[in-house]
This record gives sequence, structure tokens and C-alpha cells, in this order.
Amino acid sequence: MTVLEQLDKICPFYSCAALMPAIILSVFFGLSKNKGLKVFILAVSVLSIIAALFFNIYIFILKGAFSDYLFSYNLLEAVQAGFIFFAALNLIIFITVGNFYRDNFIQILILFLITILISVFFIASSNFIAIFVSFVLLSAGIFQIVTVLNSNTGTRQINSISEYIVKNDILRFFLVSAFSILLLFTGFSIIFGASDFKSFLQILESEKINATLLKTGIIILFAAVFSYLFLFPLQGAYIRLLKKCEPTTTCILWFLYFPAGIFLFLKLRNVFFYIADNSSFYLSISLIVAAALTLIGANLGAIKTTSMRRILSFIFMANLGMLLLALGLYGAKTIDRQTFTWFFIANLFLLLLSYLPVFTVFNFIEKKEGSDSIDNIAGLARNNKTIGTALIIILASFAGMFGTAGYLARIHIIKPFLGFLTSGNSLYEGVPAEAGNAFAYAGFALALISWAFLAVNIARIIIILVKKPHNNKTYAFPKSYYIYSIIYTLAALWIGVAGLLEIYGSDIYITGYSLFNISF
Amino acid sequence: MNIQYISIFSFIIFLIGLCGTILSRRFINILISLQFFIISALINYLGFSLFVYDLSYWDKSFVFFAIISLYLLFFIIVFYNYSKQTNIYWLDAMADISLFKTDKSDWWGDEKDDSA
Repeated sequence: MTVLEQLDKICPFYSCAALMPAIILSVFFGLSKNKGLKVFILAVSVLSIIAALFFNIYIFILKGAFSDYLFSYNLLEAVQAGFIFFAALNLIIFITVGNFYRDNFIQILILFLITILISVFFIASSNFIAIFVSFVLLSAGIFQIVTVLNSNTGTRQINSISEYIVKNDILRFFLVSAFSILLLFTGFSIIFGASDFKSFLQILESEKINATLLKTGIIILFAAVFSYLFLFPLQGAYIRLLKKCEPTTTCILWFLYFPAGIFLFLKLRNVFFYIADNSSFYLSISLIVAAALTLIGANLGAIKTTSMRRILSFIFMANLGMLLLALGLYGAKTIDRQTFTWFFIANLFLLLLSYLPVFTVFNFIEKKEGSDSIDNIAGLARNNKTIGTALIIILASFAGMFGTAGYLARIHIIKPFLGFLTSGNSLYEGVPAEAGNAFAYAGFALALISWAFLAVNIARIIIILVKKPHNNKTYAFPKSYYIYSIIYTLAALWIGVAGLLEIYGSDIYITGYSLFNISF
Repeated sequence: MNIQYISIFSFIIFLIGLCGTILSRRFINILISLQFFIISALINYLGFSLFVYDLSYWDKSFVFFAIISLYLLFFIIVFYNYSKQTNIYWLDAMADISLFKTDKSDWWGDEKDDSA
């Protein structure tokens, strides 16, 4: 058997194989405090993540989709893994900036790499055993990173009240997560009672899909995802932890913890499609009400606070509300399956592209000022034109400004309604046209309100960025901050222009492929 | 013995766990309540396995791996809690980690100071 044939056996986990050398190597130096070794392990870790990102894309193009008893790896999974690797590349920079001089820096890197490895297994899993076990281990991995980042090395005893409060907030957050995981366990046990299916695909192919017990199990799974994502009104533990924790922790939660919940939902999406197709009216009403609560609650929360961390946390939650709205819109038959999945993925990437540079700059200012008040950024765009302009473009893109990446992600919740308004037909079978239309109008109104709300929140930050400051305080950002912000700004504009060209019928794909024709 | 009675019994245990998780304020109470979920799910698995699916190895494999991973998660949470002690009685006495408690300040205005 040749080496290539042997390598075939680990398909599609080449990216995991790329991460393994860094993990194994760093284990030997886990207790080291030597600066040179830290740099070496960091370099190996970064290179292994870059290699994992490359292998993930290259091998998928080369080998195509993969499926066996435990795992399934299609384009959607490849894109999700790409998201995690790209996020990991940025997160490792944040972890290094904030924790390089800590004695346990190498241990943090080990935990981080192992968590990324488990993420890939979770993304690829299709069998219930693989899904559940990898999901629990992923949560455990994230918990360990968060606790290590928020602990003082070597001190077993808590020395301050603030440290004690953070500890309790971490416990509360992850107990909610454990609660959601146990709901999942219960849901799987009930699904087992209704059938002895081992994956969601088997459920779809079965005649038992309409069994009450099976539907109960699936509803419990959805409830588990709802509580895992801390959607309104369960956001208490999430908002409190993100306000007080060590800064890098916020990004770890945004780009490792929450995507896990979204990916779990995407595994359930085909079951959701089936249920929504057969009982769309009442299901859509419940989903749109839940989306409305999350969107309005989160956006109001962001408007009423002056803490930058809370504003970003609430806006993140509002974006999760938009995903919830997409579920309602699918139930209302205004978007199709393809658009639905595209919307989820596009919004995840938009969050990543927008939050990373914004967080970097705001975190720098928070460290300088010792507080995360929004007043600290007053006049930033006047005193520091390059970073200020970059932030304004990124924030405008996030709000969905025409010609930017955000516009492409957001337009999908409005566009279908425009088509519906011109056709004027009832959207539901067995429901009077008036009722169906009224409900669709309500969904349309909610989509517009949510967009407007988000735009107001972003506009508030932009106005503070450009308003005349109380004092002419300037921040000396390192050069790397300029490069980082500009790269993301250019990415937002580049993707935006590429999308616009496609919308207006051009067949010139400046990204190399058609953005709207990616079929998941 | 009937599968219906087993399911009802399991559902009652699930509800006890749910009420306990939502209403408890103490760490240890929440942990105990979460155990009820595990027991409820295990009763489901074993009940269905005995009465509906004879000789099924699937559920046993699932339960085996799920329990190992779940208790690993619980272990690290408990370990974290008890490895970071305050030794200050009044701090421990005021500990309130109600999972789904939502104050007005959790979504309206700025956060109130916990240490006050």
C-alpha cells in the first residue's frame, strides 16, 4: 500500500492531521516559561492552523464530498471548517497579544489547538454518537480555555471580589451550556424511542417522521439549541460574562462557542425544512414571535447601554435573532432552502469580518482607558483618520450598506418579500389568502424593523466616532493595528463590489467564483 | 411493566430536573437537578431498548460514550468551582447563580454593580 493510499484513510481529516504536530510538539513544552520556546510553539501553532486551512480547501476541491457511518463532509462542512480555521488564526493573535507573558501561555495554546481539532470533528459528524460526544467535548474545551484565560496563574485562592464575580459568571454561563447539552441528550433518547435511527438523514428518509414522539424529540433538540445560544430572554448569563471577562474570552465565545450552536442547528436544518414544509403557518408564527423578541430586546439593550462590550454583545445577539427570523421566513415560504443556508453562512462570515477589527481597536482603547465606555471612542475618526475611516466602513458594512459585504448578507431577508409583494398570492396552503398575506407582511415589517434597528445602533457608534471630542486625546496604535483594520476594510469592499457586479448581471467574478451560486 | 408507565416516570423525573434547574440558586442544587436529566434520558434509553428494540447495541454505545463525555464536562465544572475558593464566608453566602435569572439590567441600561 502506497503512502498516498494510506493517507486516503484519514480523508477528510487532513486538516486535523495538520494540527496534530503542533499539539504533540507543544505538549512536550507545556510547563516551559522560556520566551524563546513560547515563540517557537506559537510559530508552529500558527503554521499548523494555516496548513489546516489550506488542506481543508485543497483536499475538498481534490477529493470532493465524503460520507461514512460517523461523518459526512460536504461543501457546507468544508466552509464551516474554513470559518473555524480563519477565526482560529485571528484568535491566536488575540490570545498572544493578551497572554504571551503569562507562565501558562503554552498550556493555553495546547487547549486552544485541541478545541479547534474537536470543532472539526464536530462539524464533520453526522451520526448521533459523533455529534453528541464531539459537541460535549467542544463545550468542555471552550470552558477550559475560558477558565484558564480568566484565572491568575498559580493562585488557587480568589483575591478580589471582581475575580469572584467573574468565576460565578463563568460557572453560570457554562451551567446553562450543560443544561442545553442535557436537553440534547434527552432529545436523542426520545428520538431513539420513536425509532432506532442513528442520524438525521435516516429520520428524513423514514415514514416515522410524522410520529408524535419523534416530533417531541426534535422540538427538545431545537429548545436545546435555543438555550445554548442564549437567545432572548435567556441572555442574562451571556451578557454578564461578556461584560466582565478577560477581553479575549469575548472573541472565543463569539467565534468558537456560538458558531458551534449554529452549526448544530445547520445539522438539523433538513429536519426543520421538512417540519416547516408540513406545518408552516403555526410554526412560522412561533418562530417570527421568537425572532421579534430577540431582535427587539437585543437592539433595545444595545441602544440603552453605554458599555462597548455590552453593545457588541447585544448586536451579536440581534444577529442571532436575524438567523431566527430566517427560520420564520422559510416557514412562510418566502425564502428557499438554498437561500436559507446561504444567509446563515453569509451572516456568520459577516460577523467575523466585522467584529474582529472592531474588537481589536475597541479593546486597545479599553486597555488604555481602563473602561469600556462608549465615550472613550468619541472623536476617534477625527484624531486618527486611518483607523477611524476603516472602522466606519466596516461598521457601515455590518449595518448592510449598499456596495459592501454586509449588503449581500442582509439583502436576502428583504429581497424575497419584494417578489412576494408583486405577486400578491397567499403563501400557505389551507390558509385564507388574507391571513397568509397579513402574516407575510408582518414578517416583512419585522425584517425591515430589525434592519433599521441595527442601522440605528451602528449609526450611533459612527456618530460618536466622528463627533467632536471633549479633549484632543489621540491613541498611538501600533502599525499592526493599521494593517489589520485596512485588510478587513478592503475585504468588506472587495466582496461588496464582487456581489454588486453579480447582482447587476456581470459575468466577471472578481472573487474567482459566483458568490450567489454557491450551492450548499 | 409497561413502556407507557416507564415513559411517564421518565417524564416526571425530567420535569423535576427542569424545575430544579430553573428555580435553584445554588451551584450544588443546580448540579443535582442536572443529574435528573441524565437519569430521565437513561430511563428512556433503557426502557425503549428493553421493550421496543430487542438486542440493540446502538443505545448502549450511545449511552456509554455520552455518559463519559458528560461526566467529563461536569467534572471540570465542579473542579473549577472548588479549586477557586474564596475562604470568605459572606461571599459564598451571597452566591446566586440562578441560570435563567434576568434582571432589568441584563437588557435595559447599564449593568448594576454586583460587588456593591
